[in-house]
Amino acid sequence: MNIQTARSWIASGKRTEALNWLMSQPETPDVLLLKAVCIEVDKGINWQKAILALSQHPASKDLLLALGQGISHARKDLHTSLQEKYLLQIITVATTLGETVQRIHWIAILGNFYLRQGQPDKAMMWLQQSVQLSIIHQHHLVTIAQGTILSGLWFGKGEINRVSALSLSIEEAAIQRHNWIALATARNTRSSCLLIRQKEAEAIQILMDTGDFLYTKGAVAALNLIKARLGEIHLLLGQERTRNIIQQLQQAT
Amino acid sequence: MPADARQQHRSLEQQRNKLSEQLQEQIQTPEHYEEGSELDNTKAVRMQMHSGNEAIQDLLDQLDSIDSALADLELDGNEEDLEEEVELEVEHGASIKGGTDDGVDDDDDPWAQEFFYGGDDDPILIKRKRKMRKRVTQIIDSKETMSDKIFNAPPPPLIEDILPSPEQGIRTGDARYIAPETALKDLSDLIGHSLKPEELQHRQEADDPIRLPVEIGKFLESQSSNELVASWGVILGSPDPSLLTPQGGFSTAAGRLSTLSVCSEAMQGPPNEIDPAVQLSLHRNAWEHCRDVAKTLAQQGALHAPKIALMALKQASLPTTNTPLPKPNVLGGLALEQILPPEMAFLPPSLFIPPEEEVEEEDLLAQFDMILSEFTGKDPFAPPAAPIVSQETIQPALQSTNHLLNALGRTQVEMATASVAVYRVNSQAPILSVLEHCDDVLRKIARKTIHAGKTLERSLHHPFFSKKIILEQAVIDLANCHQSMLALKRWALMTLASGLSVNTNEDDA
Repeated sequence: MNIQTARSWIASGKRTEALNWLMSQPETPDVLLLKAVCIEVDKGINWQKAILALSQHPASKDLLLALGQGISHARKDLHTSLQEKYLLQIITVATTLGETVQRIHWIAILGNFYLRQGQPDKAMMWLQQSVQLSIIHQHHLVTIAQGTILSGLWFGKGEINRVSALSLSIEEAAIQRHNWIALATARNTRSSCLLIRQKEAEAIQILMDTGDFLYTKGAVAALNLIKARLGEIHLLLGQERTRNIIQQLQQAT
Repeated sequence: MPADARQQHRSLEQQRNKLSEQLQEQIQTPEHYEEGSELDNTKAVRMQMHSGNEAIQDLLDQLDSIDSALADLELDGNEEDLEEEVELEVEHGASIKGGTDDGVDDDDDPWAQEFFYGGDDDPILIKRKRKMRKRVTQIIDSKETMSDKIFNAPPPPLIEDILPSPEQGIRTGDARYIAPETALKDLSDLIGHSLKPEELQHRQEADDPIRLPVEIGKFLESQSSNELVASWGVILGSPDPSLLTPQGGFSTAAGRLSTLSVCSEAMQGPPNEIDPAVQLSLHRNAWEHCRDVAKTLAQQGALHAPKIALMALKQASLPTTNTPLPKPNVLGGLALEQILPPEMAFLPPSLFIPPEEEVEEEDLLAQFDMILSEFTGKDPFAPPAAPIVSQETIQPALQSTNHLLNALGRTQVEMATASVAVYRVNSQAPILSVLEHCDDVLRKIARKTIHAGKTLERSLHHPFFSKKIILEQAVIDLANCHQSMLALKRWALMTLASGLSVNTNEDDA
């Protein structure tokens, strides 16, 4: 009987047998990790012990697993300082191990964590990093989700150029994933940027083009978002002015 | 109307007219921007005030508050006394046996009945009537917010002429996550509403474009084991102000929330598993509906899950299947658990065994006891009396029996609720076979519970030691019945949810 056997027992569902053996073993990092997996009570504390022991050794996948579990339990226990500490550590570990997808995920989670903690300045750096990495590594889902959060933040700060550029990346990712809701939202955002610059015709044009595209896809809900923004523009600019712009656009095409 | 009120009325009308003019002006001539000029961030922020909904919104808000003040003035004096029958709850001196102690009143648990005497003592609640003063005021529907009324005022834009609605196309990729789209069906719900927190808090409808993604976020945050999904769930569930930035208007904010909902679902798992579960978690009103139906059926003594479901869905029959049921859907089960009320409190069954009479071992004290016994007419050499099973002995176990029987009744309603939610998501899901099985098993558990309760009652006034084994067995049986009920509930919820995958696979192209 050795630690590998215990691992295979756990993998095949024989947790009680594995735990009985583990309880009789000295508390090495491996044993503490497997104990944390098996023991159902005080799981948070058991994961903390495992993380502490594994952290004394070079970065490993076991440490990555333990930190992930530690973060989850810290979140559920509302232990924010521990959650932050583990998030910072797991990003370092994922970077060392070259686990790109995990790294992007944990950076995104840390950015969102700071945002919810009411620290938008601290959040900004991580949010930007998560979006940049996701664009580089073509992790479209993260580009869309984190990009949407970031563009909202930037929009609130008046960073129109950045919002516009980011919306383009979101649009590209949304098309790849057939996420028509995201596409409509990003186009609405870009249209609003144009409206702020008083490029009213372009703002309406982009909505009309997206509307036509979504019509061909039969994306009813996403099309409704575009129509709703057009409706708001009607209210903002006045019906006559909007109608004139639309007529001019239609004549030009 | 008194003179000062008339004056106030005139002044408010003047203000209203002035604001209406300003509003028209704002719509006709928004802030001018010179083509080619430098646009820094500060200026952009300043201009956003005039390009988003805010400028119009501010004017409309002011207009509305004046309208409200005018309406109040007109209503002032219309206050009248109405007699309203109000039910007062008064404690009665006598006591009632049985009942529940989970804080739910009688109206909420139509299945609550007294089966065995010896439960806890709750005060009787008597309903009395009293007169009260009531002010007659206009009732505003909770869904209709200030800005809803305002934005209904301008003529609706003819968007359908410009962009007609197509038939729903074939769903591919992330477009297969349809739960977030439920809130994006009605165009009027998406145009120009307020994003002010004080107004957003009133958005409670299940298909509201703000509330629905928030509920999806809360569900995924609480149930997902994926930290990124939970993180997005937290952002959605609050919701974070970054998603509700007013720039881009209400439609874009609703779009941001829906986008993040779709992404959260996509990160959680495949659409055929995740999306139905998320849809289930949104059917929170199913419980109230089924509970109302159960009240009617309880009076007829027909509190069975299939009957409740049939009546709640107003159907002649429920879908069933002859083939084996699909694999249980864990997330779906959790979603159904979420739409049900919290578990009823259950005291683990036990017996109250009084401490044995001690024999005095000290000689002097023993002699005193004997003398006292002799003086009080007792036999000084008689051994201590054998304990008898009293009402007090079995009271805790009988209380648990009553609780369990009430919980079994409620489980019938809970199963019906779950099946109603499943049916609403997929009307072909085979719910009848699961409900019938639940009904069967619940009846068996109820019979076993009643048997245990009767065993307890039959043991009354018998020597404790002669009935000890039987009593202990009854207590074990009650605990087992409770465990069986919980296990059945878990299985039924996951199995009912699994029925959602029936005949929906053609969508997963």
